[in-house]
Amino acid sequence: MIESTISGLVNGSVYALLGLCLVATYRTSGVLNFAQTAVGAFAALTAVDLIGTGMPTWVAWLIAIAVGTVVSVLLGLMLYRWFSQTGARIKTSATIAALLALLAIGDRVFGDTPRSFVDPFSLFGFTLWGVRFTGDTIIALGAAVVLTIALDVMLRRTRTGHRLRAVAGRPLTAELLGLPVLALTIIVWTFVGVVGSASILIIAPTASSTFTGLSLLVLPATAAALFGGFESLWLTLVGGLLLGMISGLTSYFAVIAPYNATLQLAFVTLILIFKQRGERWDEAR
Amino acid sequence: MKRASLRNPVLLGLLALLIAGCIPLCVQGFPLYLATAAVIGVFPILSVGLITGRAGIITLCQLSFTGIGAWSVAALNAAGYSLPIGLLILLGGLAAVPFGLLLGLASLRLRGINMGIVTLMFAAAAAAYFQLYPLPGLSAGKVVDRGAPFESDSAFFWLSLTVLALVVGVVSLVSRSRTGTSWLVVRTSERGAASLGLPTAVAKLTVFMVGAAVSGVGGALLIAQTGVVSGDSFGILPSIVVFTLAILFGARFIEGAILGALASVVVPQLLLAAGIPNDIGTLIFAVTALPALRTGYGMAEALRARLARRSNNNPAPDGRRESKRSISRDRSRWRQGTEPVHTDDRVLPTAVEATPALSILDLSVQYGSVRALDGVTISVPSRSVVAIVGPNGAGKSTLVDAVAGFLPGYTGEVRLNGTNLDGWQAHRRAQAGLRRTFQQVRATADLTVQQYLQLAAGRRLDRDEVDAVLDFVQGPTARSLIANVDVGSRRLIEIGGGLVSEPAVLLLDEPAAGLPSSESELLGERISLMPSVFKCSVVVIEHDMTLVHSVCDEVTVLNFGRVIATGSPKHALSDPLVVSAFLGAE
Repeated sequence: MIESTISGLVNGSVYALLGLCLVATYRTSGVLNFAQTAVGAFAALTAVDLIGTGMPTWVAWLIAIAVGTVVSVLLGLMLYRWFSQTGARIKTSATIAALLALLAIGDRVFGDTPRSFVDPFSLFGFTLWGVRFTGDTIIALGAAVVLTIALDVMLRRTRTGHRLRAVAGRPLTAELLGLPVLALTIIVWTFVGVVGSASILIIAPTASSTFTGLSLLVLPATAAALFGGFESLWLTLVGGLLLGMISGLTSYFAVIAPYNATLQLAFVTLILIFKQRGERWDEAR
Repeated sequence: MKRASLRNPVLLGLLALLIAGCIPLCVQGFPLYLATAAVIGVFPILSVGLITGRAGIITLCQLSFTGIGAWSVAALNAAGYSLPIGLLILLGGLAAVPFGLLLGLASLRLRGINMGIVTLMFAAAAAAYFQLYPLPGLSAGKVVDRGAPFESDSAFFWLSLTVLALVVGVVSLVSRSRTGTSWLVVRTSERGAASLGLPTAVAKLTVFMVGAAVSGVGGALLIAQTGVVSGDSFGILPSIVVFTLAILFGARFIEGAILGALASVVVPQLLLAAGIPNDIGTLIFAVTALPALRTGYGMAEALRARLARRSNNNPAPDGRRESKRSISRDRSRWRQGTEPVHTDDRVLPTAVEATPALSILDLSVQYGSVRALDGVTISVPSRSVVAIVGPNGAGKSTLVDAVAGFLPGYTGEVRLNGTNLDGWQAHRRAQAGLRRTFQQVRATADLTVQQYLQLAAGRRLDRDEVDAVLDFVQGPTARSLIANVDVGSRRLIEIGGGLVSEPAVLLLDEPAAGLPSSESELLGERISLMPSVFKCSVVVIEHDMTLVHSVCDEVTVLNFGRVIATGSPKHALSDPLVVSAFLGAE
């Protein structure tokens, strides 16, 4: 049982990483990117197909992350060009259409045959108190914590961070003030492209073996981001880890396992309604 | 004549029905199967059109409702009940309603992206259930029995078409009702809806329930058509496809939903014939939906806008009034055309009207550590015009929000004709005769002026009443679409809406903001006539001191949330405290 809970930490860390990407995009571009994980799925399947051709794993990973990043930047540019003046609802609907487009392209490029992903990090690891911590647990957890700290410092302390937040809050005002909005947009989408792709590469061996399956990891990622209210990076980290451990625990009990999605729905709806309980009215404008 | 008949939606619908009804006479076999699939495909797209298109709430789980409808019918069939097909379809629709209600309840507090997340997770949860509990009878190969006359494919096509026609009929009737119109208003602004006396909760719950039912009916038909359906058809992906189709084709309107369903059936077949894989079709839908999202115009909306522009070029002969009348003519009309105005009426209320129309007692509002209003007491006599003035940040708008019921957390008392309104929700206050307008105009762009006024009045208005009030406020013509009139005119329409509702008190929040001075002067005259013509009291929040001087019986001056002066305009505005508050002197 403890074993299952701890093994949930890998998934939890990746949920947290993806959740952090969602929060970073939301806080800097004002959009909830439903296509975040589809971008990562592109990278993961590129990697596995390249490795299949006999390419060394690390080269394949680098190329895969580059591919994911390019897709991410293209998506960001599309949103910047066409949707920078529209509200969050429309922007988010646009990412839903983008998700659908990526799913169609993914299906075309990679097909829907399940792949077997190699997991280069599970080979090493150590055993503590009878529980095995594999390489990917350590890497994912470490990456999630480091990223949280880095993002937190960047957004709150650096000039670029302040500028990014200004762009999210008032894109037009920021542009009129002469902020390089285009360059800032590219920075953000490159960043979430790299992190999102790497995260999916780490989680792919245990999570799912198809493009669609990987793309739908956006659900737990969103749940993690919601735990932090799309604002707090630390709470997003905690939310992702909690969610991973809870799913690890529930997968141990065969009876509850199939209801994981329902549990997630209940978890998210209750958090949301609690947070928004005072919001009797839409924004006053 | 021909033009007129083409413009009548009922005739057009019947014509389309007649043409579609001929399909089984022309084709059989696979093409007929596809035609039936297209008819059934309309239901989920139409339901997205209602919830997202009309009420503006993102929903990514409409096929879960379809699945629930199909599942229920399959369960009844597997359990051995042989019910008539009509009843099965009805039950399929009803089975989805409780789930629609649940999501509707969530939408009372959740908006925008949050509803996107919750509905997507609902779709994921439902998909997991369909995996866990496949449709009953699926594994045993137990086919849903359509019953005697509908076993033939032609008969079933006609049945599906009839059900679609009935659903469309019901949906159009509901959409035209007060509740149905309130869906559009909620999309524009929930505050705007409540200020017209429309309960926003009812609007959201009903739109989700109707949408779920429409989807559920589609599910019942689907399983009756194919006999068995795999649970995969109701997964997350199909729901996203339906959402995208609804946006692309503008499923807010029925023809948009029909176009979307046709495309979802025809495009894959065309691609198949051309040897292009099917996922390219999905890609095309997704990519073409982006411009539709950007402009806010799906295909049906764009089509309607084009038709409307064309009809504007050759205006209908009946009464498009010239947009502005000469001021003097109107003035005389309103002086003579109504019951005589005794100026004394306003100054000396009769014994019966001794209770003030609106009394605000010791009202305070706290935002965190800021006291926005501090023990404000104002009494508005019956049939009077009272102004509330003050520098920026004095708490004027907070006062209107609190009195109108948009700030539930105030302390103190608000009484309307002696009735205590504390704890009443905003829409109930509006229904009770306490109406307000907004600084930022919230009149729903998708309605015509007449529709908006009727909604505001809460009753059927005849053409004369509509014209009379529009004449009074100098608004645009009754048939113009609010989307096509300028912001100043929209404000006049909102004021008109307040007046036709026969309010006890009308709160006007900066009615002259953005109006040129000539129009503001005219508006001032109108405001001073309102108590006698519409038998109401008016509270004006204003910056424009000329307006305040010319129209008000009494003025209350606010500064930093407190009343610093009250009395006749001449008296109150010359108070040294007031002068220094406005000029910022020490």
